[in-house]
Amino acid sequence: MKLLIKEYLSSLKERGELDAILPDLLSEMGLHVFSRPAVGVRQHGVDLAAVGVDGDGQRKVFLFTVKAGNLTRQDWNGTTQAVRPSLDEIQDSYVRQRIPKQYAELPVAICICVGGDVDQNVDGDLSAYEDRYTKDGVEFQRWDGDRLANFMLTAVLGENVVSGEARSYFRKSVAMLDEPGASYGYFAEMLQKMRGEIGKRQKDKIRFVRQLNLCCWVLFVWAREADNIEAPYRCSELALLWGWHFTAEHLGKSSRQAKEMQNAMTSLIELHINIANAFITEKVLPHADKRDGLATAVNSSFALDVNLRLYEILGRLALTGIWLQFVKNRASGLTEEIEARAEAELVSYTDGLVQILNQNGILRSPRLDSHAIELSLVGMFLAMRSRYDVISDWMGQVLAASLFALQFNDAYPCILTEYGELAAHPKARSDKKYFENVTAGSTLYPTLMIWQKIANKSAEFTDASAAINEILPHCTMQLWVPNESSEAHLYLHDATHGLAVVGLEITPSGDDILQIVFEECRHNETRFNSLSAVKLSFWPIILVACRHHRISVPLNFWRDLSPLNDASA
Amino acid sequence: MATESDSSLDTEEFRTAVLDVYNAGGLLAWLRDQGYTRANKQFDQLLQTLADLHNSQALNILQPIFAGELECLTGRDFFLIQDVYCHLIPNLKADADELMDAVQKLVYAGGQDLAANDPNSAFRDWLGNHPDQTNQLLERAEAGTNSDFPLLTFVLEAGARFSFERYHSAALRLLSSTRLEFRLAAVIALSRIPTLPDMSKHQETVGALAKQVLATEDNNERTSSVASLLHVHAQDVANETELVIEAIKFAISQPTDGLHFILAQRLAQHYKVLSLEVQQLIIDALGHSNPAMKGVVDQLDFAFSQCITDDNRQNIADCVRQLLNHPEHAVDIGELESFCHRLSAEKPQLLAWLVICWLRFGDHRSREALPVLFRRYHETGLTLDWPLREFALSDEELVFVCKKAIGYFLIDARSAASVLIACIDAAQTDETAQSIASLLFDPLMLNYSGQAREYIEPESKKKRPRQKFLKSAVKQHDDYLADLRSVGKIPELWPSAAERQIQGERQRALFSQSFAEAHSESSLLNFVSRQTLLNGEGSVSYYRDYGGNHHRSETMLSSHGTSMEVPRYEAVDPLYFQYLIFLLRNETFPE
Repeated sequence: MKLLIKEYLSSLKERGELDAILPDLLSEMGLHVFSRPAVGVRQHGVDLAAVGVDGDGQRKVFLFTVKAGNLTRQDWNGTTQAVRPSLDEIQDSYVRQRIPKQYAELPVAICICVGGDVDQNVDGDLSAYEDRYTKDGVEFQRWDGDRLANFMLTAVLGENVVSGEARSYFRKSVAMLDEPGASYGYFAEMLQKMRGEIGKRQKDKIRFVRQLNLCCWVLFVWAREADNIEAPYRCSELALLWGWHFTAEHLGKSSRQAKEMQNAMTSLIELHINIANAFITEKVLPHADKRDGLATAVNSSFALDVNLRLYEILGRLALTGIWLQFVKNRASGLTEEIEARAEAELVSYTDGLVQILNQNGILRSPRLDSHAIELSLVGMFLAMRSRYDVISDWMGQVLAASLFALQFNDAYPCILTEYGELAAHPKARSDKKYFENVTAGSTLYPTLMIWQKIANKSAEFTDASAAINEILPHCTMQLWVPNESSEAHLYLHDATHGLAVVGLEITPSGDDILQIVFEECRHNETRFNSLSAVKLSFWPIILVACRHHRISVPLNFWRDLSPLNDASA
Repeated sequence: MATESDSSLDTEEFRTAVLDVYNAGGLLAWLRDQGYTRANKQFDQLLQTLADLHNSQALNILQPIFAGELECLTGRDFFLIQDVYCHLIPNLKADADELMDAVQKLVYAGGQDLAANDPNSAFRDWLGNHPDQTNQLLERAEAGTNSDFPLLTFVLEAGARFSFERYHSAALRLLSSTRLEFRLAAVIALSRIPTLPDMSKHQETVGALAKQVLATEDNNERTSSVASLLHVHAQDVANETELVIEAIKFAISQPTDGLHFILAQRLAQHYKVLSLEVQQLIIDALGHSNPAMKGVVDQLDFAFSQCITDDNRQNIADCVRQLLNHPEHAVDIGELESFCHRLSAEKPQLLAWLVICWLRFGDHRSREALPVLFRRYHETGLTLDWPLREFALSDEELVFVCKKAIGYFLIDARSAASVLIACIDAAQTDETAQSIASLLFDPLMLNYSGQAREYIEPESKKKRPRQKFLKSAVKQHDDYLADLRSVGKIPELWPSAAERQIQGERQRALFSQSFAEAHSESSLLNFVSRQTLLNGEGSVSYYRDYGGNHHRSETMLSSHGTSMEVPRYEAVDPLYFQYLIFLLRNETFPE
């Protein structure tokens, strides 16, 4: 395990990675972090500052200068951003002027923190420097990868805080990174094990989230080395939901522990977004404009595999886009440059999404009824980007293709979920019982119609409604809303919850279904708003839960998009 | 079982034995058992002895037939004895009625075998050898006897050989008989009595038969009359009269299965001499035949395979199209085995013409049949030369033909590509050429990077007026493939090991099932015995020869395989693929 952690630490990048995990680690070690890494330049040589009791029992101020990987000669004194100049700056400027008043009297430990090791050809120079500049009240400490790994194993993943069985599942999860399904399975088992070990105190929950963060980081870094970040994507998504489930009740409070919890959850969410963004920007968007490019990259000669994988990509891209838009909308005080960069990224996501829809025709024909989730995510993201033209056009194509598939008995959308059953779908239409069973219910057709109406008020469904009513008279058209049970089960999906809104009639105008939807939006508003993710204004987490656990997106998300709003307000 | 010997037959001994067995009963079985049949080296002597015995009234060689001895003989044994009778009959002294009875029994016992009618020929020869009795039979028929006279045809036919004028005239008169069987006998006899080189007799016969067609109300009689008419007419068509045409048209207007069978048969027999007008009448009539009658289809298939030419190809194309679209018993093109083989093996130009004809003017069923013809053609390894100029198609029609070619030949991309390239060459405008060239890329090469590309790329290098469009299509394909290659590996998108295993198992099960079905339908594999080898790359087996000696045989195993190219859309967008085919197939040309 230690080797695993050490390898992980040595692979971390400096900015956004090593300096991202250090605050949590220090907090878990009992130190109080009073200065966190800022985007951009070091603050007078200091990347991170904390105060707390050292191993010798003395309370000290710890000033960290962080370097990724091994400390080489170049890193020691090769540039102005090297470690030695930073140490000089710390002593000349930070120690003299920047330590908060309440800690001014405390001894200072200047810590050279590296993810790997100190190279032998630097060791001598560093030792000499430490000897020369150690004086009363100022000492130097080396926090290399080995030491950090020890701290992690004792403070975060120690045997006293995580059972051997959970650690074993985590090791297996890392070992199976090239088989993402298995890796995710072990990770989920680990969570179940840890669930039984989480204490009741807020402190325990904070630690739990930090543990999740660390585990996801380890997975991500290892997977990055293997050039396959599928497992960390799925695991971090699950971790985010678990983290939210256990901390949501405390996050809105203003206590110190609540703030720590917020920080830990924010780190976890940021980590997941980073992983998602890495996946989208490095693996997906570069090939968005290539005809059949992503479909061919699935590397399977079976259309089912292509269909499932591309819809998965679609959902992830849309959801990540929603997150990025969400973060941008919430951010305040951004410089013009940063705002422009954020907007450019969102444009890239939007254009990429549109290109993927255009260049991969299989996305017109969903195989699963639950692909309505991806359709809703795409609709939401495009609506946020005001691309109603794309919504109208694409949803119309999907509806037409789905009906064509139904009429010609060719892999029409169904409610099957097991891969083996999907591989054998569909059976001959003469098997009426099979057909009625696999199309017994649908959220897809109502979703498609509503999105088209939202995008185009005058959309008509004369042919579609006739076809649906003729071929699927037995099908329960439905949508979903949360209820009082949802908060307890939405994020972990450990029990059924919510309500199905049924009896939706597919009519030529589509107005009937629209009226029911927005009527239900009004009726369900209190319940929806009572969800912690909504209350705390972190509503994308609901979408994460829906996508991950394959629950229909609540119809409440259409609340602000009603084309009837002008009349009904 | 008697053994044959080279020594000549002991006639006395044979005679004695024959009489003994004849008196005891079981003569025919005895003849079979003793090998006294055609294979016997003394067959002629045997026949002579038997004939002498009969003619000397020592026995009645026909008696065993009436005694039911034929029933003890089946299969080959029966035909051996029937053959003996066929050799005996012409030289027997016998009462005509008794002989006719015996002949009928022999024919009946032969069942549906083609040799069953041989005794009729023997009887005809007997008639020829016994003119007096033949004349008596004719007189009886002309007198209007009420008794059955099933072999009157042979009486007329045989009599005409020794007294043409009398028997020919008699046959003509019997056409007006009140008895159907007499009229039928006359009709058939007239088709067999040679009239040439006497042109007036020939014309008289043709005219009489034509009138018979027009006059009769009985379907069978009309069919027989048509059969005879065409047969006689075919002997000299130079003076084809309106009456002949009228008779054929009239018969066709009263269609029956029997008539269609005869028309197809006569077309196959006489297509070389029948006029184009008559051929076309017959072919058009056959378009209304009932495909449920396999005999009709077989005859028609053979006829078309023989007679198809540039002059009657349109008629044949229309006829086959009607049969393919029959509302109740639609023919499958594969049932026209001879026709398909002839086109694909010997008449590629006609095949090419038919393809273009049906692509442009055909319907779903006829277009659906074209790949079957192609499959056979490809086995010859040749390419077809599309006769687009013959059709003088407009640019819009060329595009239409191309779309149909793709819609129906998509599995046979090479054929579709060759049609498209020919249409590019024939296009009048660059816009049309570009439009067709874009189809070469999408969907042809895009789906079939192997077979379509292998055909198109060399064609794009040949000098032709519109070469640049082919090059452009190839370039588009190159760019498309380059883009796909540039994507590289994205392991996050790959199916899991478990999913691959599931698909793998499904594929194996499907192939295994197909293999088993093919195995059960293979007559060869059901005929041979099977051995399963557990180890080794070959087998050694021993067999004994007639001398009881062992011989060793070593056989090495070799592999046999087949490959097929699956269209890309099957994986990346199967629904669109199906939709595309649906669209292309259902598009209609605005007439």
